[in-house]
Amino acid sequence: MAKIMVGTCGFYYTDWLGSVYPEGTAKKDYLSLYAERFSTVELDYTYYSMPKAENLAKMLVDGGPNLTFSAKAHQSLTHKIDPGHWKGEAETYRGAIDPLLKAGRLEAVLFQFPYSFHYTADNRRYLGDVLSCFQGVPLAVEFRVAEWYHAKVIEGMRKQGAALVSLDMPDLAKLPPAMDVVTAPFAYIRLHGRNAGAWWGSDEVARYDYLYNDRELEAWVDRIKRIEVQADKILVYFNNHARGQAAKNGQSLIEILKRAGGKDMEHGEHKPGGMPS
Amino acid sequence: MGNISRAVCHLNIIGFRAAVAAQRDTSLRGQPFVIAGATGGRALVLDLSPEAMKEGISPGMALGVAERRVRDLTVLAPDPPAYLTMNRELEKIAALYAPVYENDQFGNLYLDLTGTAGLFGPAADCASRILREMLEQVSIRPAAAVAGNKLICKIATRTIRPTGLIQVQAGAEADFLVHQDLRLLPGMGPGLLRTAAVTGLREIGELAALSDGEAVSLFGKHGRHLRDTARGIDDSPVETVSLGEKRIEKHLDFAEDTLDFDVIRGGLMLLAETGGIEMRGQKWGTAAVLLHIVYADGVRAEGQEKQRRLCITDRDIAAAAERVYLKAVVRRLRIRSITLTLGDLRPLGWSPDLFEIAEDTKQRKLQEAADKVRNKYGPGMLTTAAVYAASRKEPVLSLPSVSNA
Repeated sequence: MAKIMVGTCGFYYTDWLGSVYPEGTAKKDYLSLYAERFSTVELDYTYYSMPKAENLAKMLVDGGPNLTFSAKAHQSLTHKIDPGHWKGEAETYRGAIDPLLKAGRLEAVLFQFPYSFHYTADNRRYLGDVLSCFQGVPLAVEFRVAEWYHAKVIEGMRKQGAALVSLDMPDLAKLPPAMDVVTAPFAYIRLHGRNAGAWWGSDEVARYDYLYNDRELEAWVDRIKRIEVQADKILVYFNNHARGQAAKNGQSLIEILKRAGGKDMEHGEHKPGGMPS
Repeated sequence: MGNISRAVCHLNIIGFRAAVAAQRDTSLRGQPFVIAGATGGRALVLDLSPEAMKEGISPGMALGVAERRVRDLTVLAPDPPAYLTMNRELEKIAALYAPVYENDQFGNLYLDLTGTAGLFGPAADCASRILREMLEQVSIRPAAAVAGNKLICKIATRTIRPTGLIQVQAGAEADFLVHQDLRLLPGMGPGLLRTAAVTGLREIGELAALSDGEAVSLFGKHGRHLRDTARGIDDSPVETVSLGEKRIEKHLDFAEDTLDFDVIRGGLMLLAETGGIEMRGQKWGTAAVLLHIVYADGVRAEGQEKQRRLCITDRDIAAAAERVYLKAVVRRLRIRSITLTLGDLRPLGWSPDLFEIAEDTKQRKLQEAADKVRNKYGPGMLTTAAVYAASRKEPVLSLPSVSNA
């Protein structure tokens, strides 16, 4: 049975004060407090600014011995690709994540491509090239366009050993398919919330302002249990970060998984009742 | 795209017969094995485990060839009672969530989840629960798709098979279909694929982009329909009636009451031809041939013959009808009309490729060729000598005289 690890997309949110972190918590203590509750975190700052090895090495310490990391690929590799420079950016990024990799605490590097990243010959070539720059690194890929969701890509992902990310999003026209297909030894799930009203034409906080109810999470337990028989490990990250809802849902999911007989959670097991109310 | 407000869920159990075998005998799991049917003196692989597929075995392969590929290959006979039991179990689960569902008995269930969100949550969540129940209750792991119509669902499960869940959002159908392999499109048999390949069409989106004129010139009179299929257009409902209850009925009134067996045989053949082409068009075969006869005095007689294997060709249907006729007619009185019913319709259960390598390849190829001509130039353009000869005696033996009963 697969190890199931639950976390959030990012942890460094000041609006989590009072809900996830006690009021007055110093920013430097966020990660250690986070690690008391979750076994893994998806770093999103690595998308906005190019990470540095020393910072990630410090995170290994701050997060304690058990916390593992996934890291979102830098925007120069997904959203703002400069044909003349991306290889250099990839090398820099690859070097920066080395401490996580060497410590055996890097779960995956996530390549999240934008809506403008269509299934074109150039983009396919780029995808193959950029993924091959990360030999030996567990990789996950998220597309936002339905064009990518077909058998050739699934097969390509399998050959590459990269995980095709399973998504949870609002039930809105034109959004990419929700698809649970295991293409790597691990599965990678991202829950973005279902805020249909604010998905288009609003800022990032409003878009991800959503709290899953237990019934919705229970449906995800069903999906996770099915994925479980095909993957060695399942990474689940909540991206509905506004007002700490990702953390709240993450903890709820852990509880529901436990009630449903989920095996893992031994690593970085959260403390019962650990969520400040 | 049609029906964007509908929510249809398709559950596709790949290798249904092999999946049932593995469910009943857990020692088979992870092993290469095949289900083989010994018909016509030559055994063919009907179904197989994923492990057997990895060894290069495919449905329709001669069993001898398969056995040469895998030493000590486990070979199982078909187990229809087990399939029936499994279908009942699957339908029991489907009925909990869908007011309307359709089961083709060979591992394809369509559930209409339209309007059930209030009860069971969003369709994808509901599909997820159904999948869990199927796994927990009957150890079956289908591929599942949720979309606005059956066609998109079917392509979606083919995309992710053998297992998994996919939801194609409304409005994203065209993007989803555009780069799918043309082979995933229902209705694309080897002949059409050859035509497509010659013209460089490889993806569904390329077919979808054809104009009316291009579609017809490439694929004949069905070209537009095929092109529309590639555009994801499908208004067919999820039908509650199970396929086994469907029937095709063709009726013929003789111009004059007759006892001439040549004329009656010609009539039976004509009904077999008209019913047969309709049946094969749906990719069905018949397991029950029924005949209703009306004598000149208005008295009725009827008979039926259950088929040990599916009747598919006109020749087989007509032969069965003739046997039924000879048994049912016990009075020496003229016949006024005959009605042929093709009942217990079942999916052919093989891909078009497999169609070509069954043991009676010649007959089936001949039938395919005849159907092709009839589909292209009209059903009356080609008929058998029996019908033609009989029509010299009885002018009513022509297509316009046949009606749906």
